[in-house]
Amino acid sequence: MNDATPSTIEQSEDCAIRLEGVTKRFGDFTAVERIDLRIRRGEFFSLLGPSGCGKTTTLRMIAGFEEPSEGAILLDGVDVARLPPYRRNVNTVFQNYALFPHLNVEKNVGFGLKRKKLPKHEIAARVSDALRMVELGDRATYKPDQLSGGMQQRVALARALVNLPSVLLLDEPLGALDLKLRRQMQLELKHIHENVGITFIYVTHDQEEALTMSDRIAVMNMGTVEQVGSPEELYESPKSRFVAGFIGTSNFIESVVTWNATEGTISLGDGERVIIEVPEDGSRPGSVELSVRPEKIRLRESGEEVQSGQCMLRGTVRDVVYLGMTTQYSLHIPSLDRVFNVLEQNVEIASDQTLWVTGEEAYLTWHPSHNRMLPTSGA
Amino acid sequence: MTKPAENGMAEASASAILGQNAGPLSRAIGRLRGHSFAVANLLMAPTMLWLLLFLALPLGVILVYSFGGRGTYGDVIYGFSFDNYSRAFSPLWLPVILRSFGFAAIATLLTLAMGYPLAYFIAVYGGRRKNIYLILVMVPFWTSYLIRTYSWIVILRSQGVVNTLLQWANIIDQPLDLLNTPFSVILGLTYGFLPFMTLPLYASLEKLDKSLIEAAWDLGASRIWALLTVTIPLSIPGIIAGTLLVFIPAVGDFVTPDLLGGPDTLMIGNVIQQQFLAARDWAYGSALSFSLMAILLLGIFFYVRKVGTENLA
Ligand SMILES: Nc1ncnc2c1ncn2[C@@H]1O[C@H](COP(=O)(O)OP(=O)(O)O)[C@@H](O)[C@H]1O
Ligand SMILES: [Mg+2]
Repeated sequence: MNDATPSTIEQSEDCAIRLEGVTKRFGDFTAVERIDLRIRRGEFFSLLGPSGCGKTTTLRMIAGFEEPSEGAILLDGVDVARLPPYRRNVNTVFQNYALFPHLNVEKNVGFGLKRKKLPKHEIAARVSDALRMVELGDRATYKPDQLSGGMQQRVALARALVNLPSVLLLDEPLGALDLKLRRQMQLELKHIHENVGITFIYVTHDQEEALTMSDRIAVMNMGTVEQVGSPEELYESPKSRFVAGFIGTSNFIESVVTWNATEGTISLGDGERVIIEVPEDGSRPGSVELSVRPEKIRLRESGEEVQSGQCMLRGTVRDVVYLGMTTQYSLHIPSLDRVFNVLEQNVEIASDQTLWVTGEEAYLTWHPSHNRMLPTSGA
Repeated sequence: MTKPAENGMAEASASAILGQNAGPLSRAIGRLRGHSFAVANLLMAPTMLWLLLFLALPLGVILVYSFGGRGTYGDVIYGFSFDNYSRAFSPLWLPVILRSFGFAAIATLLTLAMGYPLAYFIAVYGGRRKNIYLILVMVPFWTSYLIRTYSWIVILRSQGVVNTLLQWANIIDQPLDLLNTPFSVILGLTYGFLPFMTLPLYASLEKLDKSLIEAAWDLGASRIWALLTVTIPLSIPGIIAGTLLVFIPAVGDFVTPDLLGGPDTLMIGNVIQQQFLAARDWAYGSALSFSLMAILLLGIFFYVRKVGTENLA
């Protein structure tokens, strides 16, 4: 915070918004702790995390409803952390929509423009454009309580977007909608985002929603950012156990490793082994924590079928869930005393072949490149 | 408000679907309605009985009186004449009536000006102490209105608290005439009726969704503008209730002008009281009461229609 000047200069990267060491305390409780974020112009950026991890608090600090206890919020390069909400070029779509019940749709959407003292005909034109964009052109004179939840949601969106903010903030905007409408609105939102080119910051606790919609995601946990990355990066290369477990599901292995020149091995006896490639930085930690995605693992009937360079574990089938395209198994691994999830594609299942059944013994195998080494919790 | 065609169609088809079941459905609803109506009646019965006995009946008596006359010993002679009413609307009382409405209006505005920020503070910033603040608002009710009004005499009279302090501080030489003036009467009314304003305002501000205020700020409205365009319009039900609860009793009040007032603060309540007690002309007093009630009812009707639809439309 003291060295704000140099960081403002290296601003050349086109950031719509930057958070620098932002902390928010409520009394003794720290809701958000030293968050740094750079959100690019025009990006669809999501804050993802479990309930209570500080997503809303972060968003409210960007909107100006809460003042950070520490840190800077740079909007188009200017620190706005201590400005009131009405002096920031940021608009919010509230979770409960917060439409003004005493104003009709048109007046709700025109509320912000009226404050900007634009000429009447321009307000009218922009409001009707915005309403057309959300396909509510014919509802201009309706009161909010005459509209369905989905329509209210779109009015809230139009009311915010019509002001052409630098950044649009959305706090779980689809949370109150049923699943089908949610899916549909996700696509519509994505569409609108592409058309208007405004930076979106989207808060959700739904990892699937974040993955489908976002350019990049910040995964939050207990007031801190665990990892920032594209959906693919977060899924394929989680940097922490929390991210590996929160985005999709993962199987975890913690153990001591013995290294030779080319690789490390976790030996479990009786042919079972987990082979680890030497990390890019060349380090060879004595013990590691690994995560493996369920769909990277194959099931084999015997250990002989497994090629020598592959990881191999032996397990007993506990549960089988047939999902049509895929089948989801959980297997108990005696050597690790742990349950693994495995997701098999059903491509090879023909009428004469059967699924694995509960109680059967199976060999789990995967290529060492699918192992993700996580920083050990002590480090 | 024109409905789009598709919506109209949707409605038409919906009613077509409903239409098929209209027979049994409407019968079922009818049964349900009849049932709940009976329950509601039962629940309201005690209140209805109470109102009938202690409101409607006395009003009826007064209505009957108002067409009668005064007997030699102050008894009521029943009759049917409009004499009392023509006397009630005599120009003699016009200044008194105007004064009553004026004082009540000023007191109402003052209670609104003080009660609104107070109610807003409790509703928005009260937090866990809300109930304590509300009790503090109501604490004056624990003492009789008479005693509270008397205590203003102690504060305002020429050797009272205010004058003594001002003289001691050398701000004034001679005591100010605070008591027995329009000032003291309006002050007394404002003080006495403030809780009646604050509580309904609090009730409507408490219900107000705070995220609406944030939404207004978010859309560029300054604090004052958000207050004018969102908070106040949405608390209009509270404002209507509060102003009526203050204005109506203030217009007819006679205790405050009696204790704190002087020769030039006579209010219509005093006149009515005098007719009933000193002059023992109950018939005339009744006619005055009824006239006041009629004027108030008419005024309320137009007030609620005007304020209630403004901004909310
Ligand atoms: N005004 C407040 N006062 C005290 N604690 C708060 C306040 N707002 C949020 N918190 C706490 O901060 C934490 C983060 O809350 P929030 O940002 O709403 O989480 P999320 O949106 O990720 O569910 C929660 O534990 C919550 O109880
Ligand atoms: Mg939240």
